Amino acid sequence: MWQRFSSNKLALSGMVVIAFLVIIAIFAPRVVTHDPTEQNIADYLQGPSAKHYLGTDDLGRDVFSRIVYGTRISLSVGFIAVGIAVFIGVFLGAFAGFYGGWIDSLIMRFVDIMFCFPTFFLILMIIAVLGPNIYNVMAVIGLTSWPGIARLVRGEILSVKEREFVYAAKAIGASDLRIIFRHILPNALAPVLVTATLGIADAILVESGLSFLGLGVQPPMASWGNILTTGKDYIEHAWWLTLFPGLAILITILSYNLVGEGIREVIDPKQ
Amino acid sequence: MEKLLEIKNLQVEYYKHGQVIPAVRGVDLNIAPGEIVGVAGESGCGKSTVALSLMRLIPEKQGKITGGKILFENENILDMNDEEMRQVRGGKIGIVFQEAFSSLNPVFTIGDQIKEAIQLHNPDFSNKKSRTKTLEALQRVNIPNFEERYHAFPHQLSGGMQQRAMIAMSLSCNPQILIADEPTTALDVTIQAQILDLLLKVRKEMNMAILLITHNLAVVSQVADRVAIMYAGQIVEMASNEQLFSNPLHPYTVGLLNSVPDVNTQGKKLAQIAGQIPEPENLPKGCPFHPRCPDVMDKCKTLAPETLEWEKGHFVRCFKYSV
Ligand SMILES: Nc1ncnc2c1ncn2[C@@H]1O[C@H](COP(=O)(O)OP(=O)(O)OP(=O)(O)O)[C@@H](O)[C@H]1O
Ligand code: SF4
Ligand SMILES: [Mg+2]
Repeated sequence: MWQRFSSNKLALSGMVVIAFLVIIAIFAPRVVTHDPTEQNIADYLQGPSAKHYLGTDDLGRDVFSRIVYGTRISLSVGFIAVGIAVFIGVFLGAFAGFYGGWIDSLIMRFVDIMFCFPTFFLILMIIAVLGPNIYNVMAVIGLTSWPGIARLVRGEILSVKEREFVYAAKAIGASDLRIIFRHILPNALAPVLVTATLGIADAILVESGLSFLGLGVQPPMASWGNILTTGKDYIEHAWWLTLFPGLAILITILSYNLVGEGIREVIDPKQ
Repeated sequence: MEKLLEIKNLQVEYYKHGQVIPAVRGVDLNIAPGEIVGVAGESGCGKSTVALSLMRLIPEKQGKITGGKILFENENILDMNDEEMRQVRGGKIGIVFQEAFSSLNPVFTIGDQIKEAIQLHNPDFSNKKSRTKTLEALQRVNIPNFEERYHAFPHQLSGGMQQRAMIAMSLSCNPQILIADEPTTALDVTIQAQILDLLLKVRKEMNMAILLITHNLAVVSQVADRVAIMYAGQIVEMASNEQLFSNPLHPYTVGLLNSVPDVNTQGKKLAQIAGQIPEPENLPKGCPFHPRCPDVMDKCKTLAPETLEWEKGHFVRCFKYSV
């Protein structure tokens, strides 16, 4: 498995980048050169220099330090939002697939309804009501992105549940819950992993978008999206305010996608 | 005779494309402690359906048990709640399927799977004790290097070893009955013999009854104490091994015996039973065997025969024997 994954150089480099980002996020306080919220009006809108590696913003805050702290936001929103989505999606999908009948119809009709809404606008609406902050962003992304996982898990369960080893598990006296979670789900885990990895990329992008629109992480807390918001106002004089957070988003999203596709290739010999 | 399991007038139907398929139509069968009962018959006669019914494992949306009783130590399995049923499954009755490979979960080692069965029925066992019991179970079925094989995934084992692992799992909680549904059909001949020997060995060690399902009469004659012959969802003849093979009564049994290959008939063409196996959804009127029966009489075409006891312990369902 690992050998086949690591022979895919793109996926491997994606993995390395993600590992690097995780380390940066964990050790952010030691990596930064300035306090990311400290204003220094005298130094405002400075270009990259030895003192400010990636320049400063309109309030004289160090962009490098803000991007480093933004990594924390992006990764934690990605993990937590997808964690919520996987949790809900796996449970509902597993029950729908295993029990079928009205339970299945009920859950899947709900999934269909969720799919009908344009998700981003749904998120915008909910945030507008709940108020913008990072916890609401995580929760809302998680609560709106599970239907794809539910549908996937249901399909996997349907294809596994008629296999003979499921009857064999029943024949040794295993309960329904044990059969679902111990015997069937592990056989369906690989595609969930792929979807979750790709889902992290989506969640990071949505968070950046929300923060850019002022509906996500609120200044003075730093996020890649809200650095871009400032960047937009000064795009003619201060290119670094747009380029660097933009690059951070791009590289992160790309890495997750490469890893996701890499896992997909490993587990799906058909492609 | 002491009875461990009593099947009384069992009826099972499947449903397919809006059609009712009566797969088992009134089966009566008893098993005594430590006894080996062989059930034989051509493909589709309902053997596996009987086996699955004993564990209530008929796939829920595809079929159901529509009548009869299955008494295990005088308690009706068909009336049990989920909790009682889980005690029976794997605890009191074990089952081994034809395809060991597909019956084992591909993502767990065989040791883990056997240990799970043990822990399910002995929740008070420590992890270490369950492990020891698992190793014992693997050893009991003569798996060489069983300590290493504990950590093997199903696909890393040969067909014979997979079947041994499956048997180890079914035996791990000392069931009183083992149902073996064509346990050797998927294996080659030498391995078949080894697995049969193994079943004989464990039944002796554990004084366990075995319900052995097969379409191979040679196997039945070698190991069974009593034999039931099934045709079209019914038992058409049942007797002790000796009675059945020395004095077969039912024309279908006679036909089956004439088509059993053995050493003496090697090379010679075997007499096959003429005609088609009937589909359960399309049974002929009267005796279901009448279109293929060499001894068919007029009344066989309209009336269905009942079971009668021809000599002590020898039952047959055929008009030839009704006076
Ligand atoms: N899940 C199912 N849905 C519909 N019909 C079924 C199902 N399982 C079995 N049947 C039908 O019920 C009848 C009895 O099947 P069963 O599997 O019990 O036969 P069998 O004696 O075990 O045959 P074999 O020797 O081929 O294993 C057959 O006609 C079969 O087509
Ligand atoms: S009842 Fe008639 S048709 Fe049926 S087996 Fe006996 S003789 Fe043959
Ligand atoms: Mg069968």
